[in-house]
Amino acid sequence: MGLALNLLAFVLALLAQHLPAAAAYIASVAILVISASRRGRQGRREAQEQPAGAVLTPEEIKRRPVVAPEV
Amino acid sequence: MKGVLFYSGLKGGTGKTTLALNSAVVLAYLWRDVSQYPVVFLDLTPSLGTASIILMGDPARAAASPSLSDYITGKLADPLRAFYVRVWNAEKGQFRLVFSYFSQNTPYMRRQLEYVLKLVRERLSPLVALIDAPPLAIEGIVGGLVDCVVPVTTPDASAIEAVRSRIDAINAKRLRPVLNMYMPEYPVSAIHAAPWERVMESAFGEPPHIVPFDRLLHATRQAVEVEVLKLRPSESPAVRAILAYAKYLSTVVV
Repeated sequence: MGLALNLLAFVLALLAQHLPAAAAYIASVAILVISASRRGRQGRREAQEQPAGAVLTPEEIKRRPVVAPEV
Repeated sequence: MKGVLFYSGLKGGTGKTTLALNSAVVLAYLWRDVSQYPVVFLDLTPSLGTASIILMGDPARAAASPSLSDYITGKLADPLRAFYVRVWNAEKGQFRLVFSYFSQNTPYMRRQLEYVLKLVRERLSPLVALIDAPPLAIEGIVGGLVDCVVPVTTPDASAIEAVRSRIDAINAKRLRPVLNMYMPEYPVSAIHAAPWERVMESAFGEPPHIVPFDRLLHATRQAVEVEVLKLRPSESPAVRAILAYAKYLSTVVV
């Protein structure tokens, strides 16, 4: 959504529609900043849920695919 | 075919099976294009060793299937009918490990093991046969039948002495000793008043290959899986060390 608005602002600017272009550009920047901030908060929350040094359970290990034992 | 024995004297719980089985799997993968059956793994533990359960995938299936115990008790005329092929698929292709084991506590004689190894050599033509020795007095049985012996110990004075005092009876080339389950937080033997590495060097004539203690290895054992096939070297220092030892074996045994 943010990127689409940003593109629209660029097209409007090319068509010399400066006022709508500026409005679309400001809206796109606001959307992009808000969504980036949300992604950052989500990532931090996931990191907190997985404590450092967490040990895999036997069930999790069992479900893993075979790793090629390269030397 | 070179025979390699993983040995800890009369001491159990030293991580010998983990090292032997993982080395066998790594070498089977490494030599997958060299030979049809590059590696044969023999679990000499009486009454179902851990390696045989992992390779068969299920204790009940391992107990019910023909094993070398059936050859020893006369139920099988051809011991190779007690051998199995475990196949894995990796990104670079398929690889296989041939193995056999004892499902019961059937005492066997040196000439019976010698005959089994002779058939393996003649009919399977592997590059190596890796043998997981049980913590029993088997020196009289395997002595002289293998080419190399891997001393496997833990940071424990009696474990080191258990290997040092009996390993000469194997009458085989001694490979680099392995110090398993090493914890860097406790690097010194209080009994010897010296670092464990120095104690090992003094006992075996060369510094040990260190495999650190790693909880992930224990979790993988609980999952009845082969560690090097389920854990990435980047997440397990013990797997990194086992891979390095397998690489060393690949250069010294063939």
